Amino acid sequence: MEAQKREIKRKLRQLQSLPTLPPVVSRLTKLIGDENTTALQIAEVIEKDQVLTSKVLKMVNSAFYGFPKRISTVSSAIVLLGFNVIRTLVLTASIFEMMQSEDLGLWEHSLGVAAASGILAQHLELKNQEEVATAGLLHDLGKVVIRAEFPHFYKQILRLVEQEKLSFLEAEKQILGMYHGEIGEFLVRRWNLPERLVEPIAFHHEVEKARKYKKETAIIHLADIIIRALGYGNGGDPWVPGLQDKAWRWLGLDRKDLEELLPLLDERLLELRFFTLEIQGLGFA
Amino acid sequence: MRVAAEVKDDQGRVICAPGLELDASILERFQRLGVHYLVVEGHPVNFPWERPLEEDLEELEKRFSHTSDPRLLMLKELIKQYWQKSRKPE
Amino acid sequence: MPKICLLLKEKRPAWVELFEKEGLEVCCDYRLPEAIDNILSQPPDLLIIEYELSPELVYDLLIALKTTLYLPFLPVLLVLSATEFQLDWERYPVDDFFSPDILPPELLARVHLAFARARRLADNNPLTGLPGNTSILKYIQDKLDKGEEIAIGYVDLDNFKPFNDRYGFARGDEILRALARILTNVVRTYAGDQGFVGHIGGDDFVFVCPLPKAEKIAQEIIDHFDQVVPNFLDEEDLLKGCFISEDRQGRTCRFPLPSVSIAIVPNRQGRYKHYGEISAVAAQIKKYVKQIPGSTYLLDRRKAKN
Repeated sequence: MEAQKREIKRKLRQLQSLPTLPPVVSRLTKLIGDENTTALQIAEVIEKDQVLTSKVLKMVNSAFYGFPKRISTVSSAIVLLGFNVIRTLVLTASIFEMMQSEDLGLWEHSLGVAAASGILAQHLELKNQEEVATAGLLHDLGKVVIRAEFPHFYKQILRLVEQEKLSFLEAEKQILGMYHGEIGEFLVRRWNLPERLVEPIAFHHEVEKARKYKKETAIIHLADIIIRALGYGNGGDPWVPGLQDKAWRWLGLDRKDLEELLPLLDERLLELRFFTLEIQGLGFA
Repeated sequence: MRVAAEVKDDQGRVICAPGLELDASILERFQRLGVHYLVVEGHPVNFPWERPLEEDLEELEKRFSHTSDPRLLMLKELIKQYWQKSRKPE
Repeated sequence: MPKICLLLKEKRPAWVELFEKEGLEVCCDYRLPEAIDNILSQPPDLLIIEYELSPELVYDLLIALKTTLYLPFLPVLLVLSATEFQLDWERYPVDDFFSPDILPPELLARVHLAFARARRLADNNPLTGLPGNTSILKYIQDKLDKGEEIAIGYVDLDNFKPFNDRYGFARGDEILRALARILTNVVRTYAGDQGFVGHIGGDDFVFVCPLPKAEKIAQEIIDHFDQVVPNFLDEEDLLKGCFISEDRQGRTCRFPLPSVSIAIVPNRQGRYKHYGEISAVAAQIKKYVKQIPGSTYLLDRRKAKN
């Protein structure tokens, strides 16, 4: 297993760019081709895609710009990178050559967790709500990496989930010897993403390991659970993950809080359904 | 057909209050302003992703079948109640 | 070791070897999207790029490098075959070109010349890469001589000192770089080729743009700066909304968080003849703007005295 872990890390070190869903890129390309498009409209779409968001954040936090590990939101990244760089980034984005049916589910799951994280952050009156939503969007980046870079393992993991009724997490550990949190962490650290994004990505299944951003990490942990509970998108297996005591304690939420949050989340998810529908190209008018 | 809730553009700005009578030219204008969806008065629509409530409740139970954590079971109850309340047929 | 980046249609081991023998670090990528990714996050010191690779993408990349990333002095050499010499040179921001079958000694000479030319031109601020005082003075004086209706905006980072005291110089440098990026992007968006951004030094910047665009640009700089600044602050300070530290007498003082103030001097009807007049007027307005808390701008609307 150790040798395999080393091999995975070696491959991660060489990883250049992650592919994303073709319809997202074609929608952005269309937007960019229109002279009247504003940076804000582009940000709107980028913020709905975990791969493009990570790509933009990777670039703005690269050593060249001179403020590594600082920038944690797409809107700030766009302001700092400028329209031309964003344009070039989008035009050169790589896409899945073969989009599988689970892919969209994984994207929807991430979008859902982003929405739920943002709503929780708002409810808890955190200062950096947009950033918490970004952490939610990126929390399962490790799964995208497994899907794109290790398709063979990905299939084995899914098979294990199916046959042994294991959670995706358990199956990952069996097949890879590591899990998507570690893989995501490895990458976003290499990409100089801010610690406030790294911790939730790394520790959303092991909240006790969070040091500086406990609340943020706990929010992503709970958001993941809520979105899975609602059955929104596809997190790799059909079960609600376990709730960690520490996370629950750190957030200090009760029944009434959750009761208030559900309708807010439902409305936001409805909006997102229209977005994914549009991305799927089904149209609805 | 009449608008039943505030219409928002893609940046969440309210561009129209409830009550407006819709026609083709208004819809076209909304589209240009970046409106992705709007709610109209009348019977509930079936969204392409929607299943009957019973089916959704069944799936909900399945998703929680691995857990006996009282806090998670509370979450399940809340979701159930919310769905039963918000998706009651008119 | 200067880094030279090759973006070519086909592999050319001979060129790579040639440059490496000259003590240059060579990177070459044959997959355009990844190459562009790499170049935009770690720009080389010189770029050789083959036009035929993808004329549109090459153009986009060049614009991004030269204008948005304020690397106007990054030498770019285009590889062009004889049939393509009809390029629109006004549009293409390259420094030199040569044909694919160039002989090694000539190729080397061109590369060395390009480096030398870049060094001669550079008066850029080492921290931000923006043009420095010589270029600023030259640019503004040139516009004044032509009698153009321009506005000159003096941009100042307020409360930079308490920020530095609180977080140290390294983070101070970071926020200056961020401000430089914002200025460049906003001025580029609204003024295009008609705009200019320079770094006077320390926390003082200047931009030049056509007069009608000035207020829009100033407002957007302020909006963008205020949007980005929380990224550079620790959460506790953000929550307090100020810095609390001790002054020299050991008394506890509150300092506001960083903001920008902009003094805009309009050159209406060729009112000013010399750069010195402009900076004198700017100094007067700055005094007023700096007294207003938060990010603000002020446009000098006073009539000429004579």
